[in-house]
Amino acid sequence: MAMQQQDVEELRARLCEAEETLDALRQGDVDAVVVSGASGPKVYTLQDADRPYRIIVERMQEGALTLSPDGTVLFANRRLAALLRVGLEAMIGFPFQRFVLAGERERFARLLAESGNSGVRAEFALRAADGGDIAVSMSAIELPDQEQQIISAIVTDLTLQKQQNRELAEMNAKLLATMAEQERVEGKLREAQKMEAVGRLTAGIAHDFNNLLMAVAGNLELIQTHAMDDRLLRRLEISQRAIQRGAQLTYQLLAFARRRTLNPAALRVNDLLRESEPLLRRAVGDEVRLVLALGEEVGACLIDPGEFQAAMLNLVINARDAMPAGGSLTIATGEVALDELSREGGSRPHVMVAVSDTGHGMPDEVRERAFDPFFTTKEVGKGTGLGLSQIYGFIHQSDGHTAIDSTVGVGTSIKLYFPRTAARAAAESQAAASVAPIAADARTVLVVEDNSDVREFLTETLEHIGHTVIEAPTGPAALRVLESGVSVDAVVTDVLMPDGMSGFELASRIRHRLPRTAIVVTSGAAAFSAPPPEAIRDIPILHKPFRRDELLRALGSALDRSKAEA
Amino acid sequence: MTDQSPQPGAAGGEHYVLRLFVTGSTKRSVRAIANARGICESHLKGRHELEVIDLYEHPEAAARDEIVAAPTLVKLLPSPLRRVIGDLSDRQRVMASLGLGAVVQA
Repeated sequence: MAMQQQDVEELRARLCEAEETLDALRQGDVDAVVVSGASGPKVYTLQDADRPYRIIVERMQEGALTLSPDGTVLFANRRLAALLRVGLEAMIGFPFQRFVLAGERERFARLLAESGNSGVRAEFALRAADGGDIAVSMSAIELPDQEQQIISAIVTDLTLQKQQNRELAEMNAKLLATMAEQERVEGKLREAQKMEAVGRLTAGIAHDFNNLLMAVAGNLELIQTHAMDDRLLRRLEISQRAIQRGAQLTYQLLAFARRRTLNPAALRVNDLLRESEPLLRRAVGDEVRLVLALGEEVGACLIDPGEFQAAMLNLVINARDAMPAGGSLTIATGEVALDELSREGGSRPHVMVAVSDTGHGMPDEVRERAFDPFFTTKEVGKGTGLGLSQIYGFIHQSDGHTAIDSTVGVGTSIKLYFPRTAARAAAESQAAASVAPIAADARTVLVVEDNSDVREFLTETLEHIGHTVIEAPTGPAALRVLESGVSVDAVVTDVLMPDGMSGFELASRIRHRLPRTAIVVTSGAAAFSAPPPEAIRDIPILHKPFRRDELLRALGSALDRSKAEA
Repeated sequence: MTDQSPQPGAAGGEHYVLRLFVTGSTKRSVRAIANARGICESHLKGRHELEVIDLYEHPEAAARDEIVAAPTLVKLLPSPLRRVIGDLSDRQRVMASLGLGAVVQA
């Protein structure tokens, strides 16, 4: 009986629980129901319970969709519809392939097939309903525990990202180009600065050296006039030859430093080359075939003919040395259009002279240093390393440019560019320097020279033939002498002097105040920061070291001219 | 998750083992957890274990305890086994189902 009572209680309790459960379900007091299935229980969430997740899916900035394995859209969020510029009703139930570019559909099918449990990701180009293309990243994963296979996918718009990447790439490319340009300019600048520094140093050394050579040479000459001993005369001759070699060296150095006085004239390079052809042929020898390929109607340029011919000889000899087994050497001329010339060529048309050989060529490291002074690949004693430097100085002083093309084993081509001049080419009339007799009449000569050794030589030389000499160490000192009322027939003045007055300026002032005074200018380096003023261009310039007879001849002709003008 | 009382069998009453089934962090689930804790704290202090199970994570757990909906609180011990469905906000009904209704409150 008690047992029955207990069973009734238990059954009542169970009934109560069942009723409560039903009530709860009826009243919607639950979030989810659990349904038993063959593969175990499944939790079904009631609609309002998963609202937060729906909100997330609808509000997220990515497109979201579910697909059947054949690509039919089962669900899509609003963001995806907006991205594809289409209504949701036009997507759901339709194949998603219609939004995939034709060429990408195969890849899209593969993405769906491979989605699986771990998911896959790929980038696609989608076509929006309005025809615009959209780059997207798409990830797909198979939803678990579904009776039918369902694939969920997230679509991320890459348009902005791609655009940023593109902008970044463009900026990067621009930056790289700027850096390369800067490097190139810096390289040029470094090169120019190096050449400038070496040039200044070279000019300084050569200038001082010339004064030393002048003093030594002058005094040797004075000794020579007194010496009677044959053996002594022989020694003097040897010494003088050494001085001449020294002078030649300083001359080359000054050429490189672009500090040599050039006597440019409007000339045609073709004429100059034809003129020196026999000399060039002798220089190259029999093994090398010399071809002159002179362009037609090549304009004139302002060049020093002597320097040009020396440069040609130098290049030809270099080319010959590069072809010990013989070969072909071509000297070509022509005018070059602007764009064929390197950037720094400016806007003027240029005359080009190219000396090309079929020799051993130069590796880059040699080519880069070829114009450096004292850089030589020749054996010790065979070359000074000044030849190309001298050419470099000459070309640049002539406002021109140089270029070297060289390939090892093929040959070298050295190109010289001179600005073409509008001036009509003068028939080369380098009249032989007029030979003036050595002065005979006794005159008063003012010697202006800051180097006391050179000054002493000048004085002694002039006094030796009977002139009266007044010495002045600087320009201002010379002017004081002239202003003191002393009658001076001629002035011999150095160019570079201390106390702020150059020989040119002194000459200009004398020319202005005492036009009948003869003037001779001497120059150690001819380091003319500016060319001589127009008014005194006719004054002869003597380059140190000069010989006694050269001085006397120059002075004589200056005196003659002033007498003629008087 | 299990709340274990520090002194099982203390406070002069039977030891209760309870299991609460919820679905994620829905409002109702959160309310059900808070209510279950409240009842345990005020009436079963020191003599209960409360385990909370998320059906999303462990759907298989529903089969064992014959759960048909969530949230559901199951009293495993003392027997008989009882289930209370809903967010447990009707405290009287919950207490009655758990067999705590007979306990006269002070």
